[in-house]
Amino acid sequence: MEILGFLGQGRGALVWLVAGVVILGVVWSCLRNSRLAPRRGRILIITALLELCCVFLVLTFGLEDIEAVGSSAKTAPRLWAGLLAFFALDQLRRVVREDVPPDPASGDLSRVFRAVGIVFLAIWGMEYIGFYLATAGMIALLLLLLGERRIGFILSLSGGWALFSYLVFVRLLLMGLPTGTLFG
Amino acid sequence: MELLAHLSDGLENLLGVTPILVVIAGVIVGILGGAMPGISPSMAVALLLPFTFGMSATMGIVMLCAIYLAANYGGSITAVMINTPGTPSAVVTAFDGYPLTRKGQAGTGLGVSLIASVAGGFIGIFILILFSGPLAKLALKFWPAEYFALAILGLSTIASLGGGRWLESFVAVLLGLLLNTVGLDPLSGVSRFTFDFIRLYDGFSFIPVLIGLFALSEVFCGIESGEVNTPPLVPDKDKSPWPGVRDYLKLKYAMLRAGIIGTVIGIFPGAGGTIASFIAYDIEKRVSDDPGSFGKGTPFGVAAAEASNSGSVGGALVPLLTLGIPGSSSAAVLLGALMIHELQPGPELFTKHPEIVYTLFSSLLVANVFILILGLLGARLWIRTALIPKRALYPMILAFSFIGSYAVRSSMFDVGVCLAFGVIGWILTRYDFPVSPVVLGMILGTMIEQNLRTTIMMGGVQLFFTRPLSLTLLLLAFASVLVPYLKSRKGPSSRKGAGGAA
Repeated sequence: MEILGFLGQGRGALVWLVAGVVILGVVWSCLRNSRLAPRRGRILIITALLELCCVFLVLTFGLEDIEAVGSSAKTAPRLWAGLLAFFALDQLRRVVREDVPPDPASGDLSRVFRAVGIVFLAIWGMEYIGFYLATAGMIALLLLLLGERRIGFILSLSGGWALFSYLVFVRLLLMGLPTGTLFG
Repeated sequence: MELLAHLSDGLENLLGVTPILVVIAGVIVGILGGAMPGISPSMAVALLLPFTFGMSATMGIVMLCAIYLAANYGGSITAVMINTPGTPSAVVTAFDGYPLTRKGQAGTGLGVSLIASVAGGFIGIFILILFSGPLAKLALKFWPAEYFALAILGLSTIASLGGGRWLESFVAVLLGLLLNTVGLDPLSGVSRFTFDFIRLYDGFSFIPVLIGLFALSEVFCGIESGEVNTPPLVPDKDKSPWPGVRDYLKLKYAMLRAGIIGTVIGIFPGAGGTIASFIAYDIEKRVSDDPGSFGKGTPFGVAAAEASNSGSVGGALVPLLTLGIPGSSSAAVLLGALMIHELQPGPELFTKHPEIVYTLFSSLLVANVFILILGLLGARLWIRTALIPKRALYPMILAFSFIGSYAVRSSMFDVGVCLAFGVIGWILTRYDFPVSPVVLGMILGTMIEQNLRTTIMMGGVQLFFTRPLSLTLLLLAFASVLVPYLKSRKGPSSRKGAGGAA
């Protein structure tokens, strides 16, 4: 029970995450030269889903037991995780039998990762530099990433967004947007 | 005749500059609020509630109802133009509305969503005016077993949503249901899968998940495919971008069906426009001669989704006005507004303050007319969004997504959730898993779990099968999954033809 308590806490989440990534990495490298290599992406998704089911199922054993006439907080997660595992395994069977098409051809993945990175950076930076600077910076960087080269356009769009969001959301709708610890 | 006399009295109360201005202001605020992701209809109504304190009770309620009605239409604008549903009930509108925009037919998407919204609104209001009494009694017959069965019927729409991808749809909906269990258990309050992280105690907020799965994933898919570099589709100058009257007339039965379904589902407290639009879309696809076109940009899909979610507004007002039970979160805010103005909803409202009730009914009709007028004017502006190059549009969508996700609980954590679900949505879409069943699972998860467990506590599982209404709904759900499944097994060609709304 102690181990379940640990796995259900903050550091436990980190353990699950690391273990999950390691398993995905192992599966990825094991399939590199196999006949299933063209379907590796699908297998990774199914593996991730099975890991998720496993996490939810294991953690239900550590849930507090307040049972009321045949049902408890464990009922629904166990039901959904069990069914999801069943269907994910069936999907895996189809992939192994090559009943599903191969993985789609990859497009410009590096540009997607860079875009996700910029968005992540903006969300992280919002706490420090506030909403306006973070989103204006994000818009400018994304425009550059997507191929826009007109500096005037980039500055007017990002600056215009900051002004628009201040006037509409803060002044008109009275929303409190994060101002950032550096300024506020 | 008495009804007509009351209605005409109500309309008389609206004659004058002030009442009309109040209705117009409500419609404008509603459309803008609905179009803004993160500002739900209930939030728009709540935001404007303090402004009604200085008004008479009648005018205050008229304004709030106009906002409620208009916000349901407003949600469809961003769903059609940028695949970002402004309200949860506009999710289904995006299934076909956005593909229409991608095909260069944004005018069709916007036009149909507006007309269907107005038609659905009128259907809902007429049903509210004519049958509010008996419908309220029907709503009272719903026990948890029936709510569970209704949610299962809603869930059965995945048979349509995933097109021919049965297994992928089941996996996606179960993922949504499983993720929905994160947070405090709705019945016992036990903390589940929160890892002692306080922000997770309320579970994943629905709006950031929705924005992430639809808007962000679309942006990431566009960046990956290189679509960002393609010039925007310029509409043919010789051809009107707007549908003609004949085009709308072709959709009349779809709007009628969906409007009635939306109204009827809207009367059940907690069900609301979102489930109504999923079910109406599913039914429309089943009765269609060309089910394969659904999810690929058919006006029938947009009409069904919009007419049903607007119809649900009239439905939600039935239990509110006749029993004092709010049928949706927006109706709950309206209930508060009525009480602030010292009005107690219930049967006595009709006998003690008929002038307020019938002015409200009349104002809904007038508001619907103004939605049509302002919607037509605004649509010329919205359609220009389609002409913005993707490389400028994508960063703006991401910035709007930030605001929309943050607005719900003023939480940066929700913005992070939006990004995470954006990446999840992108991966799922890449590998042919439909994302709409994930959303459906998250919408219906709590309703299913709560009512399943309450029914078990009340009398065991047998209650689902011994109560006629519950059994009927469950059989309908079972049949709606089984019939298309058997059809798809009969011929391999059916899989090719089936479209999937992802």
